[in-house]
Amino acid sequence: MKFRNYLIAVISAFFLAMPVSGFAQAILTVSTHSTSQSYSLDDILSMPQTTVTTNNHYVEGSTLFQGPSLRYVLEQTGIKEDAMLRMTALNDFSVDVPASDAFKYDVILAVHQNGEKMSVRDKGPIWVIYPMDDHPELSDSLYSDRLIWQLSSISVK
Amino acid sequence: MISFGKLIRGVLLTLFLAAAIFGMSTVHELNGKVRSIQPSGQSDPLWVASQLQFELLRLQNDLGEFALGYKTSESIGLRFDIAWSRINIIKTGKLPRTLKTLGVSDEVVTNLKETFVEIEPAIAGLSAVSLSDEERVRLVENILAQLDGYDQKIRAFLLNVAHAKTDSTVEASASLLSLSNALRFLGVTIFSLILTFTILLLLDLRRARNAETAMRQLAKEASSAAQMKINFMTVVSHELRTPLTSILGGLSLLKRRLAGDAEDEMALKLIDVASRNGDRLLALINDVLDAQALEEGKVTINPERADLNEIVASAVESCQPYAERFGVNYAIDSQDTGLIALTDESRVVQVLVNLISNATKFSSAGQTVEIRLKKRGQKARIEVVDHGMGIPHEQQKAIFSSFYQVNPGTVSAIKGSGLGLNISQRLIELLGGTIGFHSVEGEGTTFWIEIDLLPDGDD
Repeated sequence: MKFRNYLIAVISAFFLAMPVSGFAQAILTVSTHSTSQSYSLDDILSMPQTTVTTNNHYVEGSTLFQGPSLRYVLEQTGIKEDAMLRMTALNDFSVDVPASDAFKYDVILAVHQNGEKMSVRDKGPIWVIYPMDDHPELSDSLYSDRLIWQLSSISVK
Repeated sequence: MISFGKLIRGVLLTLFLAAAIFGMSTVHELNGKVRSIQPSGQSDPLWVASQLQFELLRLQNDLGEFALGYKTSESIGLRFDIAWSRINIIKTGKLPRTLKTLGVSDEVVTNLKETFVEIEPAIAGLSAVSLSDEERVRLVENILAQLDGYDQKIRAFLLNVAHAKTDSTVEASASLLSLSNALRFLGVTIFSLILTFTILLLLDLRRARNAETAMRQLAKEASSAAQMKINFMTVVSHELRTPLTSILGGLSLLKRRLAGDAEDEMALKLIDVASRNGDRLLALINDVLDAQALEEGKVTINPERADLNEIVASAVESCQPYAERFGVNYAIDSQDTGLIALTDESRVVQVLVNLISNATKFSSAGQTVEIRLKKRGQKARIEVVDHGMGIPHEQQKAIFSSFYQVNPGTVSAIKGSGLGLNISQRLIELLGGTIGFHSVEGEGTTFWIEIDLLPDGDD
């Protein structure tokens, strides 16, 4: 009996430790009707980084965000400008966003806020950021609703 | 009346300006109001609060399932972080300000955050490897006990936000309504102002049109006065000419008969006076008939090759009786020969006779009237120069108009019809030439005409 408990503990410890120590954990999935691509945080950090300094309803004053541009990420999977994207967050909340936004503006998948990684508690690990300070038309509440935090997947509708 | 209209216009303009300023300020206010309504969607406090409630319930639910062994401790950790992120969203950025504006206390959220800090170690403890089923259930029960009551409190918070939002919406819609009323009032005002302006404009237009009609009528009457004078004289002249011709014919026959009988010089002189005045009367009548014919465009001209030297000589000869009567001499000055023009000889003679007889009338006895003929480029210029009293400056403008007469003063006995110069001008224009004059009062007057010459090669 005692041995069995010990065995269970060892096995579960192995499985629990696996995502941390072994394979890098996928935090973002981008899928089209035919393909699907997963990215770990390291994958995302190794992409060309874009910085955006902007204000929005959820931060105090002008804030520096950094991450790959959404355009770049979409291009990796061959998603075109006319697509409609469904962006889903960790809590299963989802919003539909036209892909043209990414081609018209420097929309980024921010992974750094003021130089630091974002935890889930602070809308991380990925927060979709629109450069609202650079384009006055983006301050419309329509775009505020597209600032999805805790982004976990992008799929073509 | 005019100052009253100006006053009304000023008042209307002021009203217009006031309406425009009021309209602009209203639109500005409306703009601000509409902007303040904007928070919606994800930044709507109601939505954010309900999301907190939802995530808290999900956390509690997952904890229960974890106790039963259905969920992993990682998923509990993720739920906990997500619920925490909801607290952070209410506590940062624009939302705290929005809640403050709505007058809703977020104390419950602050308390929840403190509780979260307290249960954080316990949540982390759930992933410990050596937990027995009983220990797991006990840990979960502890956590749930600490979270107990928050669902009710957050529901109350949600209700408060909903009420506050409804109140502010009602307030906003009331103020929007008042603004829209103001706009409606403004619209009516502007419409009525425009209407008034239009009416004023139409009245002005009507007045201007009436004035124009009156002016036109006056102008018509003025121009028809001269016409009527000519018409009247034409009728009278026609009636006069026939008997006058008989009288003149009779006089000339009588004179010829008396000429053989030199005894009665007195009778001969009387007949002379009668026939001279008869001639003058006939000339007047002819003038009137000429003027009428010119007016109606009935005068025709017959251009033929004519030597201007001959024309001048013939005109001067015709005027010789005048020269004798007034004791005036004529001097012809013509250096150029062979001045040939394509023109109507009799008309040019008529004009020259008129100019020369005028010059004669305005000269004193013993003076000389000069008639000069010279070539000027492709034109011939004929000047009739007198050394009489001249034409007063203020009368020079009107000299060519019908029935105009310069008072000859000392020689008032010789009066014309006042049509001579007018007829001359029209005839010269018909012939394609020009007529003009210059005059210095007290020194004399020069009338001149210019007529196109035929090119030399045509000889």
